[in-house]
Amino acid sequence: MPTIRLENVTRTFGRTKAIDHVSLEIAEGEYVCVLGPTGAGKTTLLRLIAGLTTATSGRIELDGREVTHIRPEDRNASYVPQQYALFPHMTIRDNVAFGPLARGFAPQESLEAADEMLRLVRLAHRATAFPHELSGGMQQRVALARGLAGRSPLLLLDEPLGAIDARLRMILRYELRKLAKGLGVTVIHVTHDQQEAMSIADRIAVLRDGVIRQFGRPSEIYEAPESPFLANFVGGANFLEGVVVREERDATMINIAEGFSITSSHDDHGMGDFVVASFRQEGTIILRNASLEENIVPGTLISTSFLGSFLRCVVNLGRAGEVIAKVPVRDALQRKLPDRTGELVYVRADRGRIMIFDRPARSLAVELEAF
Amino acid sequence: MPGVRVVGVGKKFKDVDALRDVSLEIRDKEYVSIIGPSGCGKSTLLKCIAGIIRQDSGQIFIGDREVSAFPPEDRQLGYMFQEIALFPHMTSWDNVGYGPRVRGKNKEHTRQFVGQVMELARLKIGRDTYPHELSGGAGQKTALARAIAAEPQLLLLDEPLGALDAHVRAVLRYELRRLVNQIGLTAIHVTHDQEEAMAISDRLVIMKAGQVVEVGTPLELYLSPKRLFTANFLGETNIIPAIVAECDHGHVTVSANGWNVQAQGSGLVKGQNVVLTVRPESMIVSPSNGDDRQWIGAVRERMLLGDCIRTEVELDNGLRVIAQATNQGVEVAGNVGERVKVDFIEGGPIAYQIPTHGLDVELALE
Repeated sequence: MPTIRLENVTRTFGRTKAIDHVSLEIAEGEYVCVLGPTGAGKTTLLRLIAGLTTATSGRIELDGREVTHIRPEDRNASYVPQQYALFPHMTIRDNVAFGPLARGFAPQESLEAADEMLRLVRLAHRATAFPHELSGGMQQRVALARGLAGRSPLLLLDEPLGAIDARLRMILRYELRKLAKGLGVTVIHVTHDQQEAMSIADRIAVLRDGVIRQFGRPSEIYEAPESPFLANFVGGANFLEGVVVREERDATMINIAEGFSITSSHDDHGMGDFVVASFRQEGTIILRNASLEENIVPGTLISTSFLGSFLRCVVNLGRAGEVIAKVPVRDALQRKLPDRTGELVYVRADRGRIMIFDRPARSLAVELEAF
Repeated sequence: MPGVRVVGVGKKFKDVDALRDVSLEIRDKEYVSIIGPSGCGKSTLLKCIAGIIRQDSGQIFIGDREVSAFPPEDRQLGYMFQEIALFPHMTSWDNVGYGPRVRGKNKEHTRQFVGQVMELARLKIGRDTYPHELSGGAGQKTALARAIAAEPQLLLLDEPLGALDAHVRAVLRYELRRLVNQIGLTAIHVTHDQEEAMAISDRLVIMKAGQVVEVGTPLELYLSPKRLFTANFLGETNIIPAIVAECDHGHVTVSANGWNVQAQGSGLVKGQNVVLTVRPESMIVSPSNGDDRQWIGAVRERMLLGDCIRTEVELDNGLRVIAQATNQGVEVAGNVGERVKVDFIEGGPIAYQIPTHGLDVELALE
């Protein structure tokens, strides 16, 4: 039996559908990230489950019980909003103890729960401090501890790592997952950061314009995104528009521009279909020299930037547009890859890693937009 | 010559040293990012350069002029914050034209000039659009366009992309860099985002607790950081206690729980306790054939992070390490439970002396 079930849930604000016919099932103990750009409806979805806003239509069940119109405090869920409000005049320990107190725990029990949770979020040494004495990242962890201390089986987190510096956030996301798994709670975690979602979630629900575009394991969404938007938003990719010009049992050939075509392994598209061929940036290989075999095209290096473990190279392919290649840095240094802009390079993408999408009804640019 | 020179700058807030004897030289047309954990003083330093905060000691030069005593408006600089402060009652175009107008440029000149800046910034927004009608990304670009339209020589950016979604942020940083390049400005950019800083900067300034820790190109600081703090702050890294087993002209062999590995390192002596750092992508996991004696273990966790595959290995000598391989479609070894060996990419492992103030203080991120 799933812990959380949403059936055709819609929430409108005036004429805007913030959540549009969303159906979702989340199992007990699962860690689910709701991922999407600003304005996608992520927070509204979380607030619907928390009971802080009511569905315009549809049905919400928690633990097999319909809660669509049940008050938040009767839902046995703990909601940690993005704008967490710590009590400024209370110590960190008392702030955290407030979570269980509000849920009817005895004072002593609440303080014990607070101490335990502060240890888990690594803030036990600051228990007697006041909120203003802590950094934004520490305050956010206090809010998290307060949410956890009430021992709800369901934790609803809105951007729980949003106020934390990038490097610490990277560390804390793994800790947050371990923490949740250790406590055995079910978590719904809202984020706009796809790396965060990929590294923390059992499953990711990608939301756009109030609609769930895909719900699956991180590897499913990454390896088989259902639209160009998904491929772009989760992980990033290159996109080239073209027409299917040849269909064989084990290959589909797409003409991109004059004298430039891409071959993918089998695909369901037919001759004459307008499609978008897509391949991942880290699956885009840069070569210094090459003969023009399948899926190898010449281009001009436009720029390189260093991302740490990767070197990001932008290559202009002429009329076909630009592609981005992420080359492992050690590899780039060892192979002495070109690094001067304007240099001629070759780009290769293996046929097994080409994804083919229908050409979007709106323009490709609109489809990819995540602003 | 709008290079920037900061000489021995100090600043106290009550009893706390926000900046301690900070010196820095930024060249003409250079793009420099200042990064460090929150509270390290990076924003205070930027505000001192801007003239918004007056330092207690030391001097600041912009070009050849000492500006230490100048108010912000006499420093010929553009300044952009995280919180966009576009004038809400003005159209976006009027916002961008604000600088030229207050400096007495005529209407026609301003109109044309704003058009050019908009084009340069690749901002396609209508003349009658008001700030509240813009998306976060477009609003941030408009704020940048306004800063640039004031024709500063020096651009100061304090978390300019901080209010944006991760995805938009990663796109806009390249636009920002391109724009600054095309106009030929000197820029100083404060951010808490290491990847952002590395991706667009000529050089990085790493700060911690009010002091400059290290300055260098992103590549230098990422691959061969001089300080342990930098190694840990600039990206993920494995931190392993070890001891120097051999030491010979820059070639160091260290021993971690009895297993040896070659490392970079300087000023080390045989028998010394050290800290070994290895970035996850400098560790290669492959199936163990049973003949290997060292650096073998079992895979405990494996995750696809998108562009890379992250593997956590519990080694037979008790250490736990994280390895990361590029997701290039080929099969990457290491399913959970599998016996594997770990190889190190040459130059990847670096050995550091244990800092006198202790490891926790050196590595602290807040």
